[in-house]
Amino acid sequence: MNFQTLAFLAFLALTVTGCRLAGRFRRDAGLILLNAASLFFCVQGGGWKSVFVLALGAVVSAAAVRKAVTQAAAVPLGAAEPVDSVDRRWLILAAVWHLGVLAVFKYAGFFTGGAVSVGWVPLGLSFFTFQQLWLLKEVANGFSPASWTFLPLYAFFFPTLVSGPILKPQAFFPQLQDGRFLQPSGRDEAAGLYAIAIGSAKKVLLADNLGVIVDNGWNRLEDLSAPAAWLVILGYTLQLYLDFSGYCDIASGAARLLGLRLPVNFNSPYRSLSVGEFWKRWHITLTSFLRECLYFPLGGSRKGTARTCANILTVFLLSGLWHGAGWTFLVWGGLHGLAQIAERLWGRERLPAALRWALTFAFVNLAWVFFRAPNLGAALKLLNTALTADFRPPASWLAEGLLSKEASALLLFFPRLNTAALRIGAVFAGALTVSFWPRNAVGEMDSFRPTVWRLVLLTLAAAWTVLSFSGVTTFIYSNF
Amino acid sequence: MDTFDKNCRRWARRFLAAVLALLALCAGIVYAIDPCLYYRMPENWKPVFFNERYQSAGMIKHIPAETVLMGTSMVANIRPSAAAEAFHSTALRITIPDGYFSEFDQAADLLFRAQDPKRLVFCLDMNTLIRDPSGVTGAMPACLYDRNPFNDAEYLLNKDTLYYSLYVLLANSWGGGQDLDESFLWNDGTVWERYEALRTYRRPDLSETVQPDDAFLANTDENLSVLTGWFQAHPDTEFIVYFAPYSILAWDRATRRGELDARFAALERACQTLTAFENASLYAPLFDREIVENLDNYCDYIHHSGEAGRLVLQKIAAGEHRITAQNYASVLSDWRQFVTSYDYLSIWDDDFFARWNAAHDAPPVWWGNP
Repeated sequence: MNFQTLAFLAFLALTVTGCRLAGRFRRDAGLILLNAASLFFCVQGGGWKSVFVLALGAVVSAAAVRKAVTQAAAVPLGAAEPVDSVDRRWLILAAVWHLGVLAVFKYAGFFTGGAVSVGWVPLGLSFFTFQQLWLLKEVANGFSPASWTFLPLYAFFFPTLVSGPILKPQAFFPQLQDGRFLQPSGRDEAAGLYAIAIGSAKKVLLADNLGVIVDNGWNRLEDLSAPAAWLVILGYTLQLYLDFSGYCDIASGAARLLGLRLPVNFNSPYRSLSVGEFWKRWHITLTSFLRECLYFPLGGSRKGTARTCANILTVFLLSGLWHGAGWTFLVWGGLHGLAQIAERLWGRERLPAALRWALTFAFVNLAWVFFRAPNLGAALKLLNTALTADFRPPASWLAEGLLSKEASALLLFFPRLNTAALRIGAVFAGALTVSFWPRNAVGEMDSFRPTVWRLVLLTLAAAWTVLSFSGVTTFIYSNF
Repeated sequence: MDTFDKNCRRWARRFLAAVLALLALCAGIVYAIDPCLYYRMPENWKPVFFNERYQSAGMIKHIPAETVLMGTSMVANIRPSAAAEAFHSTALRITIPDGYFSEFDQAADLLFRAQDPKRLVFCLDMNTLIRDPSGVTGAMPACLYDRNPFNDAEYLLNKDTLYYSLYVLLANSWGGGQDLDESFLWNDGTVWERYEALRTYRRPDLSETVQPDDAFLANTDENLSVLTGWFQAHPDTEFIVYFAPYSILAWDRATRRGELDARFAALERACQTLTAFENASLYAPLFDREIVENLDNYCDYIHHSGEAGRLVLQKIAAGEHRITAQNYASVLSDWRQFVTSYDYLSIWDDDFFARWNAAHDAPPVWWGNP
């Protein structure tokens, strides 16, 4: 069930209403209902087979935690003092299970050259795996979830199930005992709706429309001029951010309507002055996970420059592989690792801030080409096109399918309008404005002011977004 | 609860109310104008036909007809009035361009739920008969064909249908709008002549391999099962199935691609299957030399004009080219003999080259490999 559907909005309304009503009666009842709703969401999105694989993983984690923590019941929630006796063998076994499941479903095809492949991946498996690993790691370090009944929600919580944010146990479990869980305040309600509206608009009105331009460009690489290639590259950079951060905004908003706060996952990453800073602002929960669960255990930066560089490269190569089983993702991760090593060795403060920003943004743009490309050859072709001396303006076919009905409506009244340029310009202007806006939506939630202009603008944006969920699919008959 | 919190809660409720009100307004406009004809045929303005898949559901529901002609783009230019004239009844034509059998099944399911047609005439398009039935165009709006009233929301809350609502009103105010008989026709803007059919035909290179006889049989069987399912489920309806009359160029194409044996095997399977039902009859204008050899009927290697389509229906109504369980083997054998011995190169005559050379600097691309 995609967030950008009427079905999801109906599901969300029913879930929030039902869980809050049940929670008002008894919090456990609300929790059970929320678990049931999350399970339903998982079944709708990935089918029962996804539920089976994920539930098995959750049971393995729960069993390992139970076995490992002998004094769990005696330890207060989020206690500063570690649990006395943690048998880490069980936790390690559970971690091996999770990594094995991830390897089988996601990487078997890649590592065997396609000889062995399951053919499907359980819904949200990559995020689920990292989240479970984080739980096991924190339990190994002495953390204990307050109640076993909270573990299913940690595994299946529907706003974060598909694409995160990856929840750190210490940030999630305590909230389930907080008085605001299932009893959100008026601030939470307003902020939650605000985030859902903003996130949906980012995803549907900006990211999806940028996707039209980007896909058109990638489908006709041979016909691109250099300016068009740059448009495609920049378009994908903006699309990816608006798509993923829009999703996270919706997830945060949905969680807030249930009285839960999700961690900030994006903090205006394209304003970064270095690649290192970029990773502190982009997919923050993944960076935190990799730092705490991989980089630090590898030794972090405490074992000399060479080892630090090797650790950074390892982390980013694995990050690339986690994003996708393919050479393009490895190259993308490797580039980011190498860039951070270069920054560390050369120093970050030598250049003026504007130049540092420009270099960082250009690097991030070029690296995303490998992230999006179907193969390395195609990535190099696009980059090569971008660097040629073919300065023809972008062709109008780049806008094919972009806001087509909005353009048709304009043409009814202004028949001579060059709508292709207008549409591309409008989408990029909107996307750049939102991407470089100093404050992100999740940050805005904490300082939300219920003003009239916000009401009007968000109402218009939300209505346009909902109306854009569905469209009349034009069938272009191949013979004509 | 402090004042600020109360204000936030009030803001949240106003926001929800405003969004719902705006969406209700948009849905109301779409419902009232109903550009896809889903709820009713308009009485105060003429419909504007813009999308077959989106508007066929409404046409099926709201245009009662004794004869329903259904098919791919091969029926697109046959006016409903031509079907009415041929079968002496009221008629409706449903076109699903490049339609998959799963899409026709949705349309037929809705048809038999909405009305009780006396006759369903189905144009069996050879290219769609033999292709993978699991393919989908992604263009079929399931929400307009299924039984679930809740997903009508996808039609009502839809910026494209909102746009078309506006467009329908504007078109009518400008004197536009169309009659049902003109729905989805592209006959008038198309050149139907020998030169055009040859000009647009990309003659394939001669294939070095020949497709095995059973290459298309699995797909054919699965696709045919959709039709036989209709025959069995609706014994009181008369089903007339006819093979769409592709031009002689289609046989040249099949020959050069090494598909001739496989196509004939599929045709044979279709004949065996479709002639076994009492309430179904099969016709083969595909083998009508008067139509398929006259390239002035065509704009490309398969699509024929509305006038040719009218002739096809008249011949079917008169019982010409009927295929039965008794005659299909000899009919197929005769046609195989005809198309395998046909002198295809003679199609490209002097008149064609005179016109081609006047408009082009190079010969047709295939000419180096005749």
